[in-house]
Formats: sequence, structure tokens, C-alpha cells
Amino acid sequence: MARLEDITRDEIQTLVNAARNSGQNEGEYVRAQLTARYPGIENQSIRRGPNVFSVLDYLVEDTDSYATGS
Amino acid sequence: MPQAAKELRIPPPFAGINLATGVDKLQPHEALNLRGFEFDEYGTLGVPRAPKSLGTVVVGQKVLSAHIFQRSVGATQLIIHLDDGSLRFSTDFLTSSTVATWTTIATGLSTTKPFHYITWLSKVWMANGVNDFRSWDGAASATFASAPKGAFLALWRDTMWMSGDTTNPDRIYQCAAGDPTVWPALNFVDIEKGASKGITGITSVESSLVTFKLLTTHIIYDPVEYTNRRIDSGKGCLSHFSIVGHMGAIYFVSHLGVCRFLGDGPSEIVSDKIQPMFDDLYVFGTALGAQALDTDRETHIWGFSFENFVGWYIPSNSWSQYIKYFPSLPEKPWLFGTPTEVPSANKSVAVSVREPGEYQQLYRVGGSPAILVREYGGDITDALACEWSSAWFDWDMPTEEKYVDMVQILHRGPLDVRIKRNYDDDEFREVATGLDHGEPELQESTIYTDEYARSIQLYISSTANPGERKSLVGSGVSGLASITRFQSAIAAVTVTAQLLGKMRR
Repeated sequence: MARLEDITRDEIQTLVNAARNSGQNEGEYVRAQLTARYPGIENQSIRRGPNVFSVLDYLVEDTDSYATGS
Repeated sequence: MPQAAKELRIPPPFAGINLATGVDKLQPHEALNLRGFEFDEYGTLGVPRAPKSLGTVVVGQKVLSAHIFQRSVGATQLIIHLDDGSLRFSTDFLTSSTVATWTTIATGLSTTKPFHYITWLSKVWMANGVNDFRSWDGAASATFASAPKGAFLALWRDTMWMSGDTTNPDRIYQCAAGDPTVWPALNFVDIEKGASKGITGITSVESSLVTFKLLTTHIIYDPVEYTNRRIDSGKGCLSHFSIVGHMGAIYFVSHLGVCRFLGDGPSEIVSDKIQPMFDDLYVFGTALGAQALDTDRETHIWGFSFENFVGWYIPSNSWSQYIKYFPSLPEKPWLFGTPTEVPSANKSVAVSVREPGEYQQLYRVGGSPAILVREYGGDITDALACEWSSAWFDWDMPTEEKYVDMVQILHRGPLDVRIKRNYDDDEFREVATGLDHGEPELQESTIYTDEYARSIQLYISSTANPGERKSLVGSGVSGLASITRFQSAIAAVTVTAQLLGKMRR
């Protein structure tokens, strides 16, 4: 199983593009795809600065920083 | 009855500009205005050699940013970003040719958002917040569309850090370890999200990544979990490009003035003596040699370091100026100046480079259209107009009339000397023109002034005999730089006067 820290912005960008092209909600699509690809990811957490976040929440939180268009 | 003669000594080292106190409260060795002159290693004032023009870069275009790409293999390149949206480089800028030649790296890029650069892994990495993150290896470019759209770059702990993403203005991204082509999706953190205008610049020191906002400063001290804390609640950074390292210290420009980063606590303001420049309520007259900070263009302030000073180009809509700080001199003096191509200069940027076996060089690109100049690299006949205005002296008796007997100047080279009277800038007399004892060493000249006044100010200027930089090795560039020796210089001044008492009118 791939490590969560190896998930790259390229991979997320591909998912974001796919969501946009199919007219689906970006956040929901990315969340569903990552859950399918990385079993157990929904239970993973990550510490950033002073706080602990859900990995999925953290990844979806950043989707607005990805390039628009496909 | 006249009293005994009183001497006013202005000994070396000179102390530079002080605008932060009353004109009659300056120390004798402080200046009310100081333009063009520079300090040598002993605090002596002198006329530096003028810049040498290496030609117009591209007709009609202005510069946005510049970078020295020094490589372990291959010639050093000077890379510039112009406001026609092009990136270009030159390699012959290092030779003494009169016009540098430029090769296009890329076109169609932003015409307003300057690239920032980091040299790492034998490539230059570039970001400006608008165009795709890109690299240049000296011959070929690559772009990385899925990298964050940040504008500011820094290296720390074997990774690249990026911020300035307008979509997420408080966010800092980190690349994969040792690989800026890969940006892990989880590698980011927000610093005090939504609490201010966002990040304005980043840099690194040994122990932390320094993150500036407009009014605050923060450090990330853990490169894995991004643990961070605020270290300065009163000062941030106006321009990422104002951040500059000099002699092991980090300097930057805040809304309160130039600051020196102190590591784990609030930064130190080092520009107390030119503080009015940063005060909204203060309006400089051009006679004082500087304008107040143009807040519309404050994000374009550009810092640079060279030999014994660190400086900043401060652009404005009508003209630009530089400020220079000499932190290694005992008095830590400041001075002003204007780039040679003003008033048409909208922006100047400067980069220094030191090639193996050569002396350090400072290059500036500025003006409209942008020209490239090698600072201090001019022909020996070229000189800058330099002027020094002392404090106003009244011997602590402002209403007493004085007979100013003589002015003695320890100097070299021709100087023009003017005495101004009674706090009136327009009331003066030229007491010496082309004052020159003709000797290469510092010697004293005496001017019998025969002047009556309640207060006086000395104004010394020089437009001739630029500085000489002695070459110790080689030819080419090395012949144009090295140890400072001003051919026209001021080392000390003594004014002798007699108090006459109050005048009855």
C-alpha cells in the first residue's frame, strides 16, 4: 500500500480534473476516489502545526489550490 | 568684545544621514543629506566610480526581477524577467564588453508579476504566482503545472518551500525531500489562516523557515509537522524581494523601516536615522534627498548586498532612489542616492556575483527601457555627482552672531565648499571651488571663510575624480574592482569661529 505522504499533487490534480470534466463535486469526488485507492485512509490523521487533521479533510481542503481546467 | 575662537571638529568616521532629529540637534559628524558619496573601510567619504553601462536589454521594456545563476559547470548566467513577459539570460555580462547580449529563455509569461528564483540541484527554479512553476538548467526549461501556484521560494532542510499562492494566501507548501518536481499533496500548512493579508515573503535561517506577513513574523521550526509560532507581533515584511542576507544577517523592509532578523524574537529596526521615510505623516523635500516610501509600489522594493553595505532600491511612479546601510562601520551609517537613469527609472534591481579568482561585482538592471550597468565599473573619467550637507551649527547659542574664520578639511581631490547661513538653504556663499592640494594622500586644506552668521551649515560637493578600485590579480572584470580608494575624499573637517555676541538692530 502506498504511503499517504507519497500522494502527490499530480495525483490530486488528475482527480480534480476528472471531477470537473464530469461535472461532479470536486471535494466529494476526490474524497471517494482516495478512499477507494487507499483503504483505511478515512481513519488516518496528520499533525500540521499545532493541530491534528483528518487526512481526507486536509487533502480536500486544498483542492481549491489546483489549476482550473483539464 | 569677541570671545576666544571656538573650534568645531568633525572627526572621522563620518556617521551618515540622520533625519530623525532636529536639524540643530545632529551630532557634528552626522549629515542632514548625503547623496552619491560612499564610505570606505575607515568611514571616509568619497566619490565612487560611476556605473558602466552594458547596454539596453530590450528596447521599450522594463525589468521585473533578476537572478545570478552560478553553476559548478558552465558559465554564470544573469537571468532577467522583463515586462514584455520574457525571461532572458546573458553570459557575457561578466566581461568588459560594452553591450551585453541576451538570449531568450521563454516568452508569453506574466508582464506584471516578477519571478522569484532559487538555484538548487544545478537548476534555477522560478515562481511568480501566476505562471506554472518552472526550472531552467542553463539550456532547457521545464514547467510543472501541478505544482502550487506560489510566488515566493526558499530552501530549508533539503526541501524547497513555496508561498504567495493568492488562492491560499496564508499557505506554505513543501516539496518532496530533495525533489522540487514533486509536491506531496499533504505537504502544506496555513500560518494563522485568515488572520491577516497573507504571507508577503519567506526566507530561511539555519534553525527555521521564516514566514513574513504584512505586520507579523512567524517561524516554522519543524520541517515534518510544520510546528510554528509567531515571533514578532509588530513587524512584517513589505516585499519578498526586500529580504537580503548580508554578512550572515538577514535584513528586510517592514512598514516601520529596515529590520534585522534576530532569530527567535522580534526583529530589530536598524533604520532609526532615516525613519521619516517610513512615516506616512512625513513628506520629504527633494532637497533632503529622499522621498517618503511609495506605498503603492512597496512590494517592488529590492534588496541587495555588496562588499561592506546592504542596500535597497525603492521605486516610485516618478523616480526611484536607493538607500544604503553600512552595518560593519562603527557608526553604522546610512546614505541616499538615485540611480543614474532617473527620473525615467520605474524600477531597479541589483544582484552581486563573485566569480572564482575575481572580485565581487554588483550589477543593476533598471530604467525605462531597462539598461544593464556594472556598478562602480565605469571609465575613470566618469564620475557621480556627490554632496554632503552637515548639520546646522550654532555652538548652542542660536541668537549669537559668529565670525566664521576658517574651515580646514582633511581631504584628497577637488571639492566644492559652500557655507549656508542662518537655517536658510538659499542663503549661502561658495567659499572654495575645485579645492585640491594636488597630492595623492590625505592632506589638510585651509579656507579662510570670512563669514558672519548665527548658524552655519557646510555643503561639500564633488563631481570630479571618481573612486579608484585597485586591481590585485588578473584582467577583465578583476581590473574593475577591489579595494576602495577614493580619489576625491573627505576625512575630517574643522570649523573655527569667534562668538561676537547678539546683534543689535
